[in-house]
Amino acid sequence: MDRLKDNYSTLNDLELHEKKVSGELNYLKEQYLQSNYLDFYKLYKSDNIANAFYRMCEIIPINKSEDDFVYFFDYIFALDYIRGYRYGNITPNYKIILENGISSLFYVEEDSRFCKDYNRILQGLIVLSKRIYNQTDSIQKEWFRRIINEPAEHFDEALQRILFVNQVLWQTDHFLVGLGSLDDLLIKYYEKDIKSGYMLKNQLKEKLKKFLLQIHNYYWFKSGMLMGDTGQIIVLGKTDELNNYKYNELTIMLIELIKELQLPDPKILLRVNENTPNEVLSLALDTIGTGVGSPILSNDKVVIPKLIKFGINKLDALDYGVSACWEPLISGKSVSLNNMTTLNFMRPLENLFRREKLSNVKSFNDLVEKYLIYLKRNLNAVKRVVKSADFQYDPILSVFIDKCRERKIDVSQGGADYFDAGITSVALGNVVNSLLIIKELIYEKKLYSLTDVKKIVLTDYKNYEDLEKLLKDKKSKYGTMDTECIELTKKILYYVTENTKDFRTEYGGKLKYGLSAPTYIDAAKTAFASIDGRRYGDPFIVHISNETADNYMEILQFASSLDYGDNRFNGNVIDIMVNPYFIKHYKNKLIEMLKVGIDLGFFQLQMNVVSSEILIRAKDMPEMYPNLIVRVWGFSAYFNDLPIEYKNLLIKRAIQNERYMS
Amino acid sequence: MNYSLITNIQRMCFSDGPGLRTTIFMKGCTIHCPWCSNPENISIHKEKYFIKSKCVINSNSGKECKKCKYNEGLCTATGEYGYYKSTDELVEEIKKDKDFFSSSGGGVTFSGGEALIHVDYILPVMIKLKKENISIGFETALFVPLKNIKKIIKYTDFFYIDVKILEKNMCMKVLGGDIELYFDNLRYILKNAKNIIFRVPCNDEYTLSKENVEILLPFFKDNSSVPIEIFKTHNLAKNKYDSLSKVAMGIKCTDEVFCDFYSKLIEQGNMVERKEI
Amino acid sequence: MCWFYKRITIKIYIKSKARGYKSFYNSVCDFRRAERRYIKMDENNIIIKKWLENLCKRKYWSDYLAEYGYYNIAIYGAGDIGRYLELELKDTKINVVFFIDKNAEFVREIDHVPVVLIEELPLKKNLIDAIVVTIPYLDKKILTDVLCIDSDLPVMSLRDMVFEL
Repeated sequence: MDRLKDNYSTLNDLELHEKKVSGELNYLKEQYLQSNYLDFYKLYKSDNIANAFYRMCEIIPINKSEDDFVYFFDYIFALDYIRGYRYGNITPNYKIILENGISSLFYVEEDSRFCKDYNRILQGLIVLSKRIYNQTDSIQKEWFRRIINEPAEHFDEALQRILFVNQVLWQTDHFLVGLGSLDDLLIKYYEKDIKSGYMLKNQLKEKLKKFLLQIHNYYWFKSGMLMGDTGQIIVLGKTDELNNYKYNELTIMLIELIKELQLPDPKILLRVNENTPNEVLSLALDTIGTGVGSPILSNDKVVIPKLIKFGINKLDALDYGVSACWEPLISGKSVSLNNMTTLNFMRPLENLFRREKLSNVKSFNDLVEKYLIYLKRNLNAVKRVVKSADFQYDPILSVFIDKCRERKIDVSQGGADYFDAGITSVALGNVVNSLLIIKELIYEKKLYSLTDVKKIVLTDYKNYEDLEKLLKDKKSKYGTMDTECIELTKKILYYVTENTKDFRTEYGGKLKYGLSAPTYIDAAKTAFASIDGRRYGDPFIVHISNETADNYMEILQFASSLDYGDNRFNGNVIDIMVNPYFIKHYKNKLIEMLKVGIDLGFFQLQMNVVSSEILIRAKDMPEMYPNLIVRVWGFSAYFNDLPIEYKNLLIKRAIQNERYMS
Repeated sequence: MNYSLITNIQRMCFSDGPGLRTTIFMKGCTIHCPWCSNPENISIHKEKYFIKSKCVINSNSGKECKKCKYNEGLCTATGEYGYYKSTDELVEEIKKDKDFFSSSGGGVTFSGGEALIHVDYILPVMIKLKKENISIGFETALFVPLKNIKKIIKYTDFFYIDVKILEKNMCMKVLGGDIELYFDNLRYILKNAKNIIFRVPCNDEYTLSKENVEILLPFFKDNSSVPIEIFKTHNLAKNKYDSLSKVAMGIKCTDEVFCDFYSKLIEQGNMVERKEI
Repeated sequence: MCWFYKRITIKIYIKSKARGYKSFYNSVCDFRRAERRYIKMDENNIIIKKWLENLCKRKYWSDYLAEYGYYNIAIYGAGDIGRYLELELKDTKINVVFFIDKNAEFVREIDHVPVVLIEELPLKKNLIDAIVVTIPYLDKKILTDVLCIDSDLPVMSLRDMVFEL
């Protein structure tokens, strides 16, 4: 039994959450027994997806909440039959449904299979709206009457429509559904309602709060691999063409609400540039300082030019949002899958030690050249994985993505404006550190040989325990302004670009990559030891980070010195640990530091505001800290929900950080 | 003088003055406070250290380093406090964070030890930094010849001045400093420098002893225009004492005495800030 | 993929609850067992699928190995995959010197290529440039075994390489 638990982390999750959701599960049990689930299952296994969707809309039980908004999700009728590579990590274009009634989207002539299916989906949506209309009353009834024929008029109505689209996408097996730039999207309804006296500011804020709480619903089920990995990210702030910083009342209001609610989900990404006023940064830091984990900062000054250079239309680039964590994505226009696979920089180094005749490697430069050759082979494998992805035919998503309607092409066949492929990367820091340590130990001090390193790597420091301790104590060079380190890092980065820039997917999408990845623990579980003091299975360096540096400037300068041009912009997050004491006492100085960092040109930045003391206590006594939130990968999660290795890593990093900062 | 002994260059010091600062710890001090939190900076010479916990060979036995094969470059347990840096190197090192200084009004703070005994070395550095418009501060106990202060005062933006034991005999006995010299210097600085902040390291036994507080309070009353920072002395430097085979005195500061002192200062109208260092 | 597992687990969970199974674990154990078998089969499946893809795209092992400069190789594992590899490399610039297999005593020779035990490797290691492992699940054990015999003998795993052609 115990072994089973170890093996199967999702089971673990289930057991952990059984108590929490027991009510929900009982409901499920009843539903399962009563429903005509099996008929439905047969239908969507055998029939067209559009028909299955229509059928689902007809029979799905409607679960009205007591609250204002209607937002429900049904596990049993989830449309989860896999027909190919699933779409996720994307943000639909909510505008389509805000500015149109559903019925105005119909094709007049059904002259292709896509048009037919598209109309069928719309019919399904109308059936669902009508059913909700029949079962609700008062204002809700009005909303679902209007959604069929008329555009949204009021703020709360707009929120309801966003929830509706969001719900439909989750229900139909799209994962990590983003929320997009809500401040920009909703401001016109907000201002209109204030002006016309439809509602007072406070009432609207209350509505917005209820909306966020609704989005937080089904947190458990929406989560992917890890609890909290729901991809529900709200993008705030904007840069206009003249490089001014644009934000509005809703921007502030949303950040304030996130601060007030103290929930890990939904989370926010705040776009900043060199003109971002202190007021906004200060509020952002206050929010981060409460430990809620967001917002993550994304630096428009760097991101936008890189997007434009990559070939994205300037207006679209100015409007960018992000996929679930941080990968820039043009909300509503792009179906780029930004996290298709992970490039593990450590693999080529492992392979080098396994496959190479080490007596042939004569110098450090030789070693680096050899490493690059192995990297190229690894990239071949990555490219094949990306290329072999066969996307599922998805008329449901096509309804909510720009241009698919005009082009009459499904998203899976290139109907959207952008359909590039993105990969993330992990362990570059460990590789750079390893190579530099090899240089020092073998080629400069001549204390060891490459064969020794091979033995260390393959046998996990057997007979070299002393050396392991010494290497663990060593300061990491990755993430410092050390010239060797920067040169080596750049060399590897450019090499990857060189070998991926000509890659095209089936419909002509390009390949992009970035330096942050969620897999720093999972990819490392089966990775051999590395000479930077990392043992078999230990986690890799988290995104762009360096806990051994005694200041944050170094990592900011390092990240700013890298070139994120060409195809290297797929998320490059600096991850720093900050002691709560620090934010409390030196907020103004941190703001100054951030402003300089923005000016220098870091790409993105996220902070974990935790003290090791509290984390350790929370690990020992989870029941005492039910609401402790931390940031992992690119999202916030409850500390108690995390697997043990994530907890340990966070504690380790917090301790390291505090040691050097004191 | 082109070279001088430095023990540490610490970037991102938030508590040593306005903005983001780099603090330079110079080696060598003219007094020896029993509560010193930087014992490695007292002696003016290089000092060998041995950190037992970091030794991989015999971390549990002995205080001395037994030479082993890792001593040639890999060992982190042994080493020397203090390294020589030329003025040019130091300027380069400081200028690394120039971007961060200029917008926040930050810069560099010379600390120690007693930074003001190194003025011949620091002066050329200051002149170069002033050309870059970087703010410069000193943290000093003031037990130095007046001519040293006269040399640098022109380029200095602010002074943190320690106020420790003001009673003549105790000062000589405990710190080994001449209080007349201190007051002479202080008078000169008060007259000529722009920004001054007093710093009081608080502990029950010495600085906040009954006798000393009786002298401190009127002293601060006389100089009520100067802001004061008070903080408790701590025992965080125990590892450093151990690594030097010295004994940490373990001097305490109780909340009661500390708060009492704080409220008395407030009462008589001083600008006081409590710092947690 | 894990997303998929989670869905399945939840489905099983719901079903087992709905049917009133005493132990949720019984049903999941069944699933786990099937899954493990599936993964094992899947590893070989991946090799074969990708290999076939390589062949169709005229990408051959001989060119790939020549890239490394390894012309004399030993094949670890004289099973189906090992034999096919030997067949493909026949009459190319790559020379298969011998197989290594734990059943060497029963199978002395395949296609005129001798089969030896791993214990015999120290005597024969000078004949070869590298060992190619065809058993996807054993490569880590083999790595350490070979490391003890000769620390500078490359060990290549077919499972990893089949993607890289």
